[in-house]
Amino acid sequence: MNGKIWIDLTDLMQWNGHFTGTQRVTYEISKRYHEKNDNVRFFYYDQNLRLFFETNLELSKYEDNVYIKPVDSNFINNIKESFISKFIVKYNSLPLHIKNILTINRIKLLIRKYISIKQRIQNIASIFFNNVVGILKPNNKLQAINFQNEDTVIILGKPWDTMSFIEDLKIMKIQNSFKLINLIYDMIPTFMPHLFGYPLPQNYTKYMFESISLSNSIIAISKNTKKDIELFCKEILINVPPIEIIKLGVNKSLTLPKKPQILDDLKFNNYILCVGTLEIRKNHQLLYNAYREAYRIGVKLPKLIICGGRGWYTEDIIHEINNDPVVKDSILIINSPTDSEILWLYKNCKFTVYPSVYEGWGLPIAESLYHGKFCISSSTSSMPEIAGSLLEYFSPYDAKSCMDLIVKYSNKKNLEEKEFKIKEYKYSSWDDTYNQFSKILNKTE
Amino acid sequence: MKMKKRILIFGTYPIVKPLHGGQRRVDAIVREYSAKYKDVKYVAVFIKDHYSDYSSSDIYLKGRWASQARSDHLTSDIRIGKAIYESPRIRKRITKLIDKFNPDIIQIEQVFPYIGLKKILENMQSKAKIIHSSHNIEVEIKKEVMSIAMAEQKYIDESINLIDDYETDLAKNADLVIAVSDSDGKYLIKKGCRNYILAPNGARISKPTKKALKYWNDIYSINNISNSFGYIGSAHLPNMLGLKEMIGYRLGFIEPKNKLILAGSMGNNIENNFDYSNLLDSTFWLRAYNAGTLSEEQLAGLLSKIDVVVLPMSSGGGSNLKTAEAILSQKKIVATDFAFRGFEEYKKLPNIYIGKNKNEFINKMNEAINTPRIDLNKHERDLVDSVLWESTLKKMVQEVGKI
Repeated sequence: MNGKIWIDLTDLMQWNGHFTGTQRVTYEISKRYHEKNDNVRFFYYDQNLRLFFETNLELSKYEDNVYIKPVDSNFINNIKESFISKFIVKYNSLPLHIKNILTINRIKLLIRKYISIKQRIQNIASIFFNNVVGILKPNNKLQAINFQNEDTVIILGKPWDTMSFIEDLKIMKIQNSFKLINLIYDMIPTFMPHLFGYPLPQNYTKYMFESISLSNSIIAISKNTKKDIELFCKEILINVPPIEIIKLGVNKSLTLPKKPQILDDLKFNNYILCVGTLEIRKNHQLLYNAYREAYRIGVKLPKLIICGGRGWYTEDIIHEINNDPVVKDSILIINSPTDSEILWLYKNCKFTVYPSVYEGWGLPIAESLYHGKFCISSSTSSMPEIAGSLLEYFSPYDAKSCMDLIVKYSNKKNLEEKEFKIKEYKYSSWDDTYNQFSKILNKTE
Repeated sequence: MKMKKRILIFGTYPIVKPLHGGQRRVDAIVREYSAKYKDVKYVAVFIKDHYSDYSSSDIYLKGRWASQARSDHLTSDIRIGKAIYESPRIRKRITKLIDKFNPDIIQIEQVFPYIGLKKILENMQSKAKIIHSSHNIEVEIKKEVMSIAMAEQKYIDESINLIDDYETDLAKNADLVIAVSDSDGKYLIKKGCRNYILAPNGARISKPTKKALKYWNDIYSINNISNSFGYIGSAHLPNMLGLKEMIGYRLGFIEPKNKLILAGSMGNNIENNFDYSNLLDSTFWLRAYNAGTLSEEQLAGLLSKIDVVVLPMSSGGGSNLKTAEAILSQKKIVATDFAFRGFEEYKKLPNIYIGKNKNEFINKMNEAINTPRIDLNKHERDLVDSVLWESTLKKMVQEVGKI
C-alpha cells in the first residue's frame, strides 16, 4: 500500500465512560492496526476548527474504559440525590425576602448560564490552544491533515452526531479522491425512526446519504445490515458501493464475577437474564407482557433479571415493571451493572432472552453463547444470523410465543439438550474481526 | 416608420420587472407591438401583495376586492376579473382610460380581465376590435390546479364554468385569436373560433453581467458545486409537480460534487412546504440548492453557469417559455416530451435529451452531465435563433396591422 491508512478516533476521544458497541469496535480494530501495521495513522476531527488532526492511539488511556466500570452509576445517583436534598434543606432555611429574589427558577437559569459560559470558554480555549499556542511552539504545532490521493480513510465510529464531519470530509474527498471505507452497523434510525429521539433519525439519514455516496467500500456487521444498506441505496437512488461483511468479536471476560449487591437481599436464584440497554428498541415491553399473560392464564415463569444502562423512552416500562403488583416480584431491573456483575449474572442464569425489535448484529446473543448459555431470541433482522438453528426464536411482537418458549426451556431436559448443542457455536474473537477487516482492506487496494 | 394603431392591452400582472412566464410573454408582446405601432399601452389590474413593482397606469385592488382575491388564492385571477367591473373605482378608471385612449384594438391577455371588461365595453358601446391573446387553455389548467389542491367540487365547478363561458365567448367573438400552440388553437376552434394565429413562446438573449457571474462563481465556490443541473420556474403547480414526478426528492443519483439548482419562486415554494418527516426525502437539500426568485440579471448569470437545464414538466398548458429559454441558451437540456410541446422541431438539435418516464429522465440527467456539450453548426444556430420573440411573435404583430 503506497498511501497511509487513516483511522478516525474522534468518537473514542470524545467518549467518557465505559465503551459500548461502536467505541468498543473502534478500539479493538484500531488497537490491532496500531500493533500490526506501520503504515497506519490515527486522526480526529475538531468541529470548532472544522479540521482534521493527526493523533496517537494511547492505549493505556482507554484501559479503564474498556475493562472496568469506572464508577457505579448508583453511586453517582446517590451523591446527586444527597446533594439535592442538602441543598433543599439549606434553601428552605433562607429568609423569605431572599427566597423571593433567588427563586428556584432563577437558580436553575444561573446554573444553565454558568454551564453555557463554561462551554464557550472551553471552546475558545481549544481554538486558542490549537491556533496560538501551536504557532508559538512550532514543535507542538498541530498540523491539519489533508488526506492524499493514495490514502485510505477508515471510519469505524459514529460521526453522525456532527454533520460537519462528513461535509468537510466530502470537500476533501472531492479535491483529493482518497479511498473511504466505512463500517456500518445498521440503518435502524432511518427505517425505524420511531425508536429514537429527535434529531438522531434526521442526522443519521443525512449522514448515511453522504457517507455511502462517498464510500469506495462499505463493511457491514451482518448480512441483514448489508441488505438494509442495499435497500437504502435503492430507495434513495445511490449506486450501491461494494459491501463486505465482518463478524464482530465477543468481549472476553478479564474480570472476576461479582454478585450484584442488590441480589443479596432477594431470593433470585432461579432466574433468566436479559442483557442490553433499557431502550424502546430492545422491547422490554414484550417481556412485561409475556409475564402478565402468564399470570392471566395461570402459568408460572422463572424470575427475570433485566440489566443494562438507561436509554430512550423507557420511563413507562420501568414504571410498569416496578409498580405492577403482579410482576414486580418476578422482574428485577439492575441498572448499569459492572462487567464483573454481568459476568456473575451470565454464569448463574438458566438461559437468556433477547426480545429486541431490530438489531444491526445482536451482541448479547453471541455473548450469551460465549458464556455457555442458551438464548431465546427475537426472530427479526440480523439476530437469526448469529447462531441459526442452535437457538429458538419468537416474533418481537408476540408475547404469547415468547412466553411459550420461556416455559419450554424452563424444563430442565429441554434446556440441557440445547445447552449441549450450543457447544458447537464458534464465536469470533476480536483478532478474527481484525483479520477479516484487514483482508477486505487489502482487497480494496 | 411606425403604423398608426392604438392598442390597449389588459392583463392581471404588471410587467415592470417581468419574472414569471406570463409576465415575460406579455412584456415581449408589448415590446414587439411598440416597435411596430405608434400607441401601445399596457394596463395591469393586480394584487399589490403579489407584485411590488408596477407602473403608474397599473391598477391594484383595494379594500374587500383585495382581501377576497388574496384569500381565494386558487381563483384570485377570477376575483381580479370580477373586480374590474364590480369595484366602482376600477370600473371608473378603466372607463375613463378607454374613453381617453380611444383604442382601435383592445387585447385581452389570458381570459381573466374579460370577466369584468366585457360589461364595461358593452356599456360604453365600444367599437374597438378585440384580440384574445391566450397563454393557456385556462379552463383546463384551473380544473387541474383546483383538483390537486382538493378544492370543494362545487367551488371547482363554479370556477371552471365561469372561465369556460368567457373563454368560449372570446373564441367565438374576438376579432383575432392568438394561440400559443397548435393544440391550444385546435381547442379554441372547437369552441367556435374561426381561425387562430400561432404565436409560440419565445426568449430573449440576455448576456450575463460580470457582477452576476461573480455572484454565481461565489455561490458555487461556497457550496462546493462542480457541475450543476438547473430548473427555473415559478411556483406554478405543474412546475412543482414535474419535479416531483420526473425527478423526485431522492437525489442520490447526483454525484456529491454536483447539485440541482432551483431558481424562481418554485424553489421557495418547495422549501417552505417541504415534508421533512419523510427521512429519505429530507436528503433532497443535500443535492439541491434553492436560489430563490432572481432578477433578470441574476438569472442570466445562473443560466450561463448551469451545465444542464432540466425541464421535467409533465402537465400544464400552453407552450413552455422555459423551453424556449433553454433552447436559446444552447445548454444541454434534459426534458420530457411534454416540455417540448410546440417546440417539436427543436428536439433534433444536439445536446437535447428526452426522458419519457422518471427512470429514463434520471438516466438522461446522468448521461447529460457526463457528456461533453456539442457545438452547433450554422444551420442549427439559425434554428435556435427562431425561438427569439421577434420570430415567434412576428406573424401575430403583422396580423394585428390587418385588423
